Amino acid sequence: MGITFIHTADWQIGKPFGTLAAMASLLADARFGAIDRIAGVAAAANARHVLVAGDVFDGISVPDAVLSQTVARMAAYPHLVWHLLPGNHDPAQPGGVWQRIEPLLSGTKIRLHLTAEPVEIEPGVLLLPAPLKTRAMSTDPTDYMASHVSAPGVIRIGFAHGSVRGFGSQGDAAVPIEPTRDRSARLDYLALGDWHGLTRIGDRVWYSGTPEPDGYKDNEPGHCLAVTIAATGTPPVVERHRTAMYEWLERTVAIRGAADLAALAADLKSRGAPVRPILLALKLDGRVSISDGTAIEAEIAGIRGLVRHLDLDTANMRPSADASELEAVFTGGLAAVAKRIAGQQSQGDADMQRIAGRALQMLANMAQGAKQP
Amino acid sequence: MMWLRAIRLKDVGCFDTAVALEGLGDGLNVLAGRNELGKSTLLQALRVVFEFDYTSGHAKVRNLVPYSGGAPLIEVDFETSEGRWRLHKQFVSGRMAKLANLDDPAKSVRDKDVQLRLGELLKGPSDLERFKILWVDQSDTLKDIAPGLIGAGASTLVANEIDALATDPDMRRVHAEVRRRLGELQSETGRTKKGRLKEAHEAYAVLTKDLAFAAQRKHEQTARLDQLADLVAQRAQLSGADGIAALAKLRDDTARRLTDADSTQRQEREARQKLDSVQVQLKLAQQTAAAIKRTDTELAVADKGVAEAVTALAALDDVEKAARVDLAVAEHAVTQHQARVRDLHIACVTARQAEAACRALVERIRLTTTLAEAHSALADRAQATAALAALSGITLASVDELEAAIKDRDKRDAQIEGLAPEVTIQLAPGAAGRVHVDDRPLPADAVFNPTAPLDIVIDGIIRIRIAPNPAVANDVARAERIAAHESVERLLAQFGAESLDDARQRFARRQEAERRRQDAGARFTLLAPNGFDALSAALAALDPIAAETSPPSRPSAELEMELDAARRQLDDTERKRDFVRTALARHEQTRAAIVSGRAVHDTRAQDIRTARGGDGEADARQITAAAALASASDAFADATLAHTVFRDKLAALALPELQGAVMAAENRFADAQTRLRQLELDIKGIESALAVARDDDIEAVHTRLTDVTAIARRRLADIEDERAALLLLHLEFESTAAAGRDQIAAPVRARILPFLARVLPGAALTLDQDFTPAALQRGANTEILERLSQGTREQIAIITRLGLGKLLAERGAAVPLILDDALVFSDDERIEAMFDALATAARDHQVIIFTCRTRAFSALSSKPGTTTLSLAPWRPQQVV
Repeated sequence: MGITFIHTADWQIGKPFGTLAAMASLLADARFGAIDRIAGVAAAANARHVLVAGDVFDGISVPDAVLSQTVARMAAYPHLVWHLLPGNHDPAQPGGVWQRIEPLLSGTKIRLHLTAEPVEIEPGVLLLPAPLKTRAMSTDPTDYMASHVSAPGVIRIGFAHGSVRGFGSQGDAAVPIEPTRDRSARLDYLALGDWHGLTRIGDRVWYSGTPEPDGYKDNEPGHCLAVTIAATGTPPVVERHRTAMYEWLERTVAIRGAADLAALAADLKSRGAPVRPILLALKLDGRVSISDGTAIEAEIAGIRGLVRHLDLDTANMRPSADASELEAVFTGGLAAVAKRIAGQQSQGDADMQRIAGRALQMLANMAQGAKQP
Repeated sequence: MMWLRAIRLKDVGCFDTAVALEGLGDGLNVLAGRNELGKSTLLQALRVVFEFDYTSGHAKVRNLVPYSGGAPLIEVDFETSEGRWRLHKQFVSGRMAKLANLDDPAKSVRDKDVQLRLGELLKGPSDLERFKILWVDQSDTLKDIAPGLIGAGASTLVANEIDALATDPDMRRVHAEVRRRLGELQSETGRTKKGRLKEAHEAYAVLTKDLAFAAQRKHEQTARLDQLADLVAQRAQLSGADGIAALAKLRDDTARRLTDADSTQRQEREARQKLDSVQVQLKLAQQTAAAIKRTDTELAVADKGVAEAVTALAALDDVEKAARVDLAVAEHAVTQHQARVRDLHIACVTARQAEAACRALVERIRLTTTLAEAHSALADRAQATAALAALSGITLASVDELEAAIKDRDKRDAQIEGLAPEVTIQLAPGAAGRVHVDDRPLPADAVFNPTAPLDIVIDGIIRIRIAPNPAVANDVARAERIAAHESVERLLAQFGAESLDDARQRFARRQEAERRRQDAGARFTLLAPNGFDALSAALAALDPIAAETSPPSRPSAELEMELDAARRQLDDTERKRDFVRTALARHEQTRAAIVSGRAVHDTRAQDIRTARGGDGEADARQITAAAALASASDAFADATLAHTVFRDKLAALALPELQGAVMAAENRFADAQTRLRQLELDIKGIESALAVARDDDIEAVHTRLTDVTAIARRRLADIEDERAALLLLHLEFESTAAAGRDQIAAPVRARILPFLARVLPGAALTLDQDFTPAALQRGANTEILERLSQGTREQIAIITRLGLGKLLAERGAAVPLILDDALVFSDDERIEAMFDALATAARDHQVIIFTCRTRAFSALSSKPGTTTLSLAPWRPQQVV
């Protein structure tokens, strides 16, 4: 007897987005919406179980209203059994979310796995949870799985939250997990949470990543996995399904002129902007001519219109001018002033380069304004 | 360039009629007149007409309204490089303005355009400021120029003037824009933040504070969660199998054991009470049995006592009989021994008397001998005493004296008789004793140097006489020699000796006599220590006894020994006799006691028999008592065994420890319950606090504040960067303008110098950065301007204006210099010099002097090229 289930994690419901003041409520709502999209994937994959591998909530102190809304959202899909695992953001500790959510679960198919006790979720299918009780721990919570013995023919599914040792990037949780746990514990599949990007550790070990991106890190967030295990010992069939509403893009442009930004704008449009909701972190790096200042500002304004949020970093953009440009832009006393500022930019430290570049750009803008009738 | 040509006023200040000052020349113009002529009003009117728009309600405009009321009308004719102009303005009411070009009316402007056109004519609005420095009010000469008195006033105007000359219009405009933008962010000094920068700082400060507060709350929440986890764990531990339930079980188990122990204790107490009861019964039975036994024993004892008394009396009779025999024997022996003792005693006395007589005889003989020896000793002593008396004059000292006298005599003799030959005689072996010198044997190796005649005799062979030669002696020596001889003779006579040797022999004899006398005395003392009389008396006392002297037949000592033995035998016999007598007395007492005892026993036996009844009755009672005792003994053994069992069991239970354990278990259980209740309360309290924090969503608030604060920090940094960029631009503009000012400063100083040399020869003027006079250098002395006299300061102030006026004139921006009642502090010599300076300045630009000192300024008025002015009535014309 086989099983098909949905593997997801790191919902982090209740996460505030302080730097995105105008978008905060929309982004928060999008995380609730991810539950609907996951339920849709489950229905399409004919899966009855959804495994949420930790960090269901952003913290142990999220308000009760958030808990109620989350429960209600899952309960809206009565054909699904939701398996929730405490992660490092929402560890199973007194006063935490799980103690408060338990009274809300009556009549639902939401199952909390607050202790490391295997549970048969279907006949012949054993779920071995490794809940976290603290934010960090030095031991591998999946250790016990290796010594747990089950009847022959039983499908064993590990369910944990932490950082796989030796994995290229460090996860969020300071919780080590042995990468060969699937073999040492004879697991048919190990559903992991913590790493927000979709990541395959091995045939039987996967991070599903967060279903709704919450940052600019480009590591394939915004998915859930539909996992089918035909029988114990057979490799699982893992299908990825996109669930993200928002796309978070991070771009660093080595800018030389306004044309570089025009290329970025074209790229955004090709991704569906402005219809598709995109949040863009744009970092401009390089020297630009003070003559291009106005044109660059115009391009930036255009990009700002294409995205839902623009996080612009121009700290490393250096307006500058060579001698010929100074001569072209400035005359008389202004030229002398500009030349001295350009000299300070070329000889000063990083702060002076930044400030002098800005002063040059301002001077150029004001000089042009002064010339205009 | 600018020249004033006429000033006309109506309804202005003190002028109650319209007046005009016409015909102002290119150079020096002087208006001299009495006080309150209206000179200062003229200057104020000039300022207002150029500075203020005709619509202005500025105080300076209103101040021009006469006390009688009216609308001030001011008209000024002036000339610039662009032609001749007439400025006409009416203020307060009927307001109007017109700037008419007197050469080309088409260039005239009216009303609002007037001020703009004026600015163009006079090189921009700021250039109007120049008038303020060159148009000097009455008594303001010092105030406007002295550093520290006018603040930024004139110096700023000078700086602006120079800026205008040193920078181009674009630069000034951009710099003004930079200053404006910078002014939006900070105060002029840069110390105070303004506008967006201030808001950003304040917002960041508020956010930082909020974030700190949120962090604190989050920290508290985390701490509460940790505390809650700890408390919940404690509660779980307390509530678990090893917790309060275990304590309850322990308490119950311990209580149960105590209940069992109490039961055991009760059983032990009952067993002990039963044991005590049985023990009493046993004692009663034992007492009963003992009483029966004691009665039997007493009866037996009584019977036995009677029997023993009878036997004892019989035995006593036998003993008494033998004792009486012994007494008779002993008394007989005593009598015998008494007689023997008496005999021996008599014999002993007799013997002792005989022995005493014998001893007295021996003593008489001894005393007689002693008496004779004593007499002999006395005789010897008398003899020795007599010998001593004969030799009484000679002593060891006197012998030595004699020897010394002889030596002295011989020495005198030797001196008198001259040196005697030194004779050395060596005896041949075996000749010793055969040669004599002065009758003394000659030593073996003798050396002589005789001072007196010396005879050497060899026995049987020769006599040799050696004598000194007396011929050499003088009288004194001879007298001394004679005295020496006499001394020797006297001493020899005193001693009765013939020579020194004789004297020595006599001294030896005397010593011998003394020894003999002492021996005799000692001997006498030994023989008759109490003297002759005592010896004689003792001898006399012995005489009668000595007459009956005869020795005893047996020695008294032997008899006494025998007497002692007899006495001891007598004593033994008497003791035996007394012993027997005592024994007989004791027997009598014993008999009485036995008789008495038998009577007691008889009585007791009789009483017991009377009391116990018959033998059968006594036997039955004895059997009953024995049976009761046996029963009681068995019961006691059983009770003892039962009590021992319970006592051992109770001891094994260790009741006090068990009670302590029960109390401890109850306390621990109560403590655990209290702790559990407290834990519940604490948990509820923390959960309530956590609920409050959750309602505030403090974690999200903290995260949000962290993010927002970061944004605010970035925004603040951005604005700070903007300010820094603006400040950089401003400083660069300032630097550029300063360079321009530096270029002009030197010409300003150069223009001042000629005027200064004329008024204060040899002096140099130091200018501040803003061209205000700072100090006067005269020779080696540097004098600060404020410490100079008012006259000198006034002159320097005017000279500075002359220099600036000349510079402006050279640069084509000439402005008339107007002085109202200036030089009021100058002495005659200096004022002449100042007049020369003013006249010189008037070659470059117009100079207009208003003064009330007509006489003092007459010299100025009389200078060639000077225009003397006077006020005249004016009839205003309708302005079209």
